[in-house]
Amino acid sequence: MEAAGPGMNISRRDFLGGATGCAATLWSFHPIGLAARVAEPGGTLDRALLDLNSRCVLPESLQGYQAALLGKHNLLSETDLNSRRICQIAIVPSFGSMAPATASALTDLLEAGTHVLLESGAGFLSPAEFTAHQRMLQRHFGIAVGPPVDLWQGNPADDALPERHPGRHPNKKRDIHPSVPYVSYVWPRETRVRDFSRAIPVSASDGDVIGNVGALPVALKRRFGPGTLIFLGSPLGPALRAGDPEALSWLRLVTAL
Amino acid sequence: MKKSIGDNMIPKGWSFERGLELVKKSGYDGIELWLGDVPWFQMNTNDAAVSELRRKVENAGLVVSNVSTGLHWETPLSARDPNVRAQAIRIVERQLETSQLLGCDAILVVAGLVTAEVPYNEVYQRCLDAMKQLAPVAAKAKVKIGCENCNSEQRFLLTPREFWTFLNEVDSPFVGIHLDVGNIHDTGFAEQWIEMHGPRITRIHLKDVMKKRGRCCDTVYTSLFIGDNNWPAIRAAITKVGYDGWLIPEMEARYRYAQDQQFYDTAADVDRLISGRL
Repeated sequence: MEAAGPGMNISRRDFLGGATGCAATLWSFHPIGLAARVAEPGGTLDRALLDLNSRCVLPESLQGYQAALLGKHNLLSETDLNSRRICQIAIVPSFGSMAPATASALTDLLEAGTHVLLESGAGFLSPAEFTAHQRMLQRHFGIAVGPPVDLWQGNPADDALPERHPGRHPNKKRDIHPSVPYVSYVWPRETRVRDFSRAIPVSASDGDVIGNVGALPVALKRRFGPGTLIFLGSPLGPALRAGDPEALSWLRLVTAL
Repeated sequence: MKKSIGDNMIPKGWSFERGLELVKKSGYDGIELWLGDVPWFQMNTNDAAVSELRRKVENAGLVVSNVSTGLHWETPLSARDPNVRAQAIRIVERQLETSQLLGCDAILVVAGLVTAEVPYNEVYQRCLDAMKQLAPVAAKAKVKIGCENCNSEQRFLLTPREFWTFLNEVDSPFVGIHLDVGNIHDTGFAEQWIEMHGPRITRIHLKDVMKKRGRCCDTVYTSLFIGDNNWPAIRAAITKVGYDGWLIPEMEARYRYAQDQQFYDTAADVDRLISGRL
């Protein structure tokens, strides 16, 4: 049984889901593939995209993957997912929590040779929710992660908002731009993608780490039976949605594996 | 056209009632209420207290021209954190609710903030999401959302055509532009924005701007007719598009002394603009 942390009520995510769900529904950027196209039971799906609904912290990330995959994917709910439906790659955008049955189905898929891309959305969770997220990753996938790191904290950005004038506009400070803390991927090829303000550091051997922000490891790839588990501690989906060509190129390479 | 002025101009330490008296006495027809920027109108001000504000406004012989807010500078609709975005949405919803209580039909929203951290393409999509989500709420309330052009401060929707494209994508008669003719300065000409957006203009903020003439070559906002806005062109464009709504001076630079005098002087400036004798 998945142990829920003391603060692991879902009201907050439900709240966020409610607050952003309408926007997600109305979203009009590449609306292709919004409907699930599920293969025959026992058949093979090529690319599966898992919609966790309220357990997805950043619906925009799911939208980013949908846009990037151009409809060439199967959008699955948690109940659609089962280990008999083998696919080449299963992508889980921006998850905050996950039903134990879903985690088990994903590990079964890995054992059956599927590649699984797990994108953490934990950067914006409460401490209690993060603890549950951390435990779930360790228990089901053997991934050890640390608490979210604010990549922009302490940066003297011009926009670290603003004292106000006697009027209401922000005082523009000097345009001192810190360097952007890009996520640098080294696999499947060297690629730099915009950070998403907060990242989840991973603890892994050097050989497993595939992405860093500076010296901070935030992405890993490791064998999991015959399958491959890819973990992203910095969401890629929002960059996909924003049309970042490097993010798109990275995903295309991964989904072509 | 009618004249209004923001309640955030009321000198600090003054009561709302005393401010209203000054606004009326200095010749304005209405008052712009700033949610979150003044002690009498906060997010936790309940409906009964908001209705009481309306009663005070009407007792003073004024009406509420619109509900604005500066809260979105710190709680932007374009934030990456979904918690912050949910708060930002709630602020707009409260503006819409209070507009109904106050008997006005327009609000001002700063619809996104491009920063070094949160890049333009993300801001665009999130603002579009937010406006598409809020448009039906605004339609139901019969209150128009005016997205303000804060060109330099927002670094967002910097040109009139870009703003026009954004509004086209939102595609709602209840989402338009709250045009500030002083905010355009280095990126274009206010009169062209008026011409392009005509019927989509929900309200007009007035202020002047001295381009690169302040200390250390800064661009500074100032009182009407002192700066570099082409006021005859602005007035002509207002006539061309048939705008007959509220003109709301927004004086960022405040009188240090005789603060009440600024209300009179500004009202006279707006009268002069309306008269077209420029």
